[in-house]
Amino acid sequence: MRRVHRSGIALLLGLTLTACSGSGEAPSTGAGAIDLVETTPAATGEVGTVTWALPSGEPSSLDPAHTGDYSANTVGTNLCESLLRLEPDFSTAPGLASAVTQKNPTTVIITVRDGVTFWDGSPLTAADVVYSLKRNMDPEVGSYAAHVYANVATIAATGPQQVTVTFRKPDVQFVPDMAGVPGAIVQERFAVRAGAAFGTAAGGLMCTGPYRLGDWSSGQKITLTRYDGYWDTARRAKAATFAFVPLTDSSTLTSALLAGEVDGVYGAPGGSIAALRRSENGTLYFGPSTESFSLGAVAADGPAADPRIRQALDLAIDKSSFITSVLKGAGAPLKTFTPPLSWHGSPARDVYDAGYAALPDTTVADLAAARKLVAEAAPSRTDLVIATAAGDQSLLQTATIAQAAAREIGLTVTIKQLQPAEYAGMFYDPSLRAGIDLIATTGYLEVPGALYYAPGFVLKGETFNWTNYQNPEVTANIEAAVSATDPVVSAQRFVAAQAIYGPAKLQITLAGSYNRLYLNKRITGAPASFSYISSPWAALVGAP
Amino acid sequence: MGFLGRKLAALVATVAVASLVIFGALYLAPGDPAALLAGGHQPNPAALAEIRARYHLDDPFLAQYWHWLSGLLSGYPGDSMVLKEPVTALIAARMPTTALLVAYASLLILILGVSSGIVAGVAGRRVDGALTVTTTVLMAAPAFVAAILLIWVFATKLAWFPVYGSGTGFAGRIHHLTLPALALSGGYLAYVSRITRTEVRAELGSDHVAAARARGLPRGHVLGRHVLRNAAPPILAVSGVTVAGLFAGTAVAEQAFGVSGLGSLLVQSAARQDMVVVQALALLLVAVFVLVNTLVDVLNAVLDPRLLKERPA
Repeated sequence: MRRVHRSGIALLLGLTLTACSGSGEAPSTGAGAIDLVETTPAATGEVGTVTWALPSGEPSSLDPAHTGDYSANTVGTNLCESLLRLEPDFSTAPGLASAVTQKNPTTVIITVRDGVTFWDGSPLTAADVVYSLKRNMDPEVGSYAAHVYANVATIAATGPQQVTVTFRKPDVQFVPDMAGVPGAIVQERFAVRAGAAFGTAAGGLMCTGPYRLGDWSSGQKITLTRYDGYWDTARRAKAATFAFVPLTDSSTLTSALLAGEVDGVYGAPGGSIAALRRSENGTLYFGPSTESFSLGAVAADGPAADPRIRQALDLAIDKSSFITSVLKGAGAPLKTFTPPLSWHGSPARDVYDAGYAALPDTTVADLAAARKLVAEAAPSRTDLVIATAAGDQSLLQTATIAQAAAREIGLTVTIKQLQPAEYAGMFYDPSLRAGIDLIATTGYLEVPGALYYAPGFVLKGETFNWTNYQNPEVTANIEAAVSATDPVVSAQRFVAAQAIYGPAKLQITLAGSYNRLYLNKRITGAPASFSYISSPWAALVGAP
Repeated sequence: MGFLGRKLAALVATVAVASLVIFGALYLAPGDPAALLAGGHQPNPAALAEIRARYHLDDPFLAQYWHWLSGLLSGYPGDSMVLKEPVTALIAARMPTTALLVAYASLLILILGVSSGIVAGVAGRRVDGALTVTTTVLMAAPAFVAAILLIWVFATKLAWFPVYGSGTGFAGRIHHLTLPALALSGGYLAYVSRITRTEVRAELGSDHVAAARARGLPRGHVLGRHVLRNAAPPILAVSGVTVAGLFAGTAVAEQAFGVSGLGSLLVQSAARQDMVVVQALALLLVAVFVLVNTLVDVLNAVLDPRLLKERPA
């Protein structure tokens, strides 16, 4: 009896220990400080099969028109390539287009690369490019990238290897957007024949990437096999097959990585950083990223619509402790919603960097200044509602931190957890935002470009301008920035606008989070930066 | 109406009521599935309207319910809104894995649960106490906690079993499903063990057993003919309910071990607001639960024919 009894106690102890480590109160991130790297050591040899986990679950579709989240991008960008290629430093290089040129504010010329073939061996044509881009404008298709094409007037083949895009309204963000899924090319013939099933397990895909879609057993794994006729011989895939497995349970995923059953993952669980850093059979890399955590004001009236209240909340939240507790140290303060990585590859980088440096730094909490702002604003009500997505632990933690900070400055915050559909709906349906002041959210840029976010947040009537923000100077500068073909002029106008809307804290940006990549020691070569989200990264993975 | 007729009518009525409740609950659930389906930054109103029409989302409740029910009755519950595949195909692909997992867990529950209960019932205080401690721990541990522990000990430390996945071939599947079956059966197993112990104890203390012992019948004979036979119906009833409940429990175990079965499909579909799949699966789980319970009732009636007689009004 005694033996059984003792093992019973051991079991109970085990339970308590597990429960503790799951609650994530320990801010330690394991050994040493975090070094950021853009890439991992280049692969030198081939490998057979690489097993890769998808912590956000199985993608529902790999059709580029329906690709817009972590899982679908992680897999799909290796299959269907874009006109431009995103590099680890978030600069762009030619992809399926040998050039994409902004000829004037309302015309973009695409030169389609010669010698590219689809997996069935047929050549890539200008007609396929026209078809692929136009698909995003078809309401029947319901493309996730429709917003990228909002200002487009026409897309037409203007030569055997040339496509011209004209705009109703200038939009210099369109060219960098072509480095992401919105610029992905599919074969017209195959897509038309597959219809609504295109990109699903049943319908299949036909693209030009270094990998072709192999076996997709729904719920279990998606296998990619190397395409031997790939046009870019220097970037031919080093792994013969790549198997993607959905593993949404973070503790199971961590065990599978530690046991070597899974070779790698992007977005390794934040709670497992310490365990993965200690692992002897692999390496956890941290890379620069465009991902961020923020609180967005979603109400046109009430306390959150007052910039002073938003500034007060921003000042009340200590960003360093946010990074320690929510991001487990794997992040850095961020002054505004457009992260510096988005302009790293720009020729006008210096202008952007100087503009960013000039923004006020609110990393350290300043409760006295925050209380002063609340007293000045003297809001008619001091109770606010923050919405989060039910089931998302880090967003709940974010809201809880905001709640504690708000209490310090005389504001009362209620946290409202919404079901996924309701939460997603809030981003476009004003009726779902009723009764909510702020939303805790994460976001990322999948393409370079400082103008990716700003117009949607600060221009009148735009999608994310929920507080009805209006400032003539900001509007004039943003409009000038999106129509300036000279990158330096565009940057100068953007920076001038940012200097005004930045401190207004339309989004209370809490921190940028690092990209977390884990690789088993049998493989190397994957980019460590967040650029994987839009590039055929798997082709680089091979033996060390 | 005979016994079987009554049972069948109750089964059909339960499933019918469940279908209305399931459909109604999902109809009332907050959020617009069309918005999730349209996805992206700013769903196009035309695309939204198209999705709403395709899935009859704007019809009145009863019309939607009837549309769904008639589809189910004709054997075509529709296509997944997200995966665009027929729900029947999605379920058929995952059914064998879940059935195997449930069968495996059921065997563990019945064999280990009943036998440990009998042992606890007839053995001395030391063994009984040991089993009581073990079952207490098992009952207290939720499946997801058990999963974390099992993975840590048997997959990461000892490497006897794989961490995740469904496996291929019969041997591979059994290898992959052992830890999930253990995690799934733990609490139920302890429960059945406890019930068995109590029933066996009660029978051991009863007059007819005392009489049989007094007549000098061998110990094994008394246990088999007098104790276990009388203790069987309640044990069977409890086992039936627990086995039926396993289907619902698979959601947690399959999710934790990355097993591609009906439970993980339910969790995944609920997260994606894939109503068509959630509705069909929820109803299927209710139907299986009711069906297994009915089978247990019938089995009990066969063991104890008195139940077959109609109760006096």
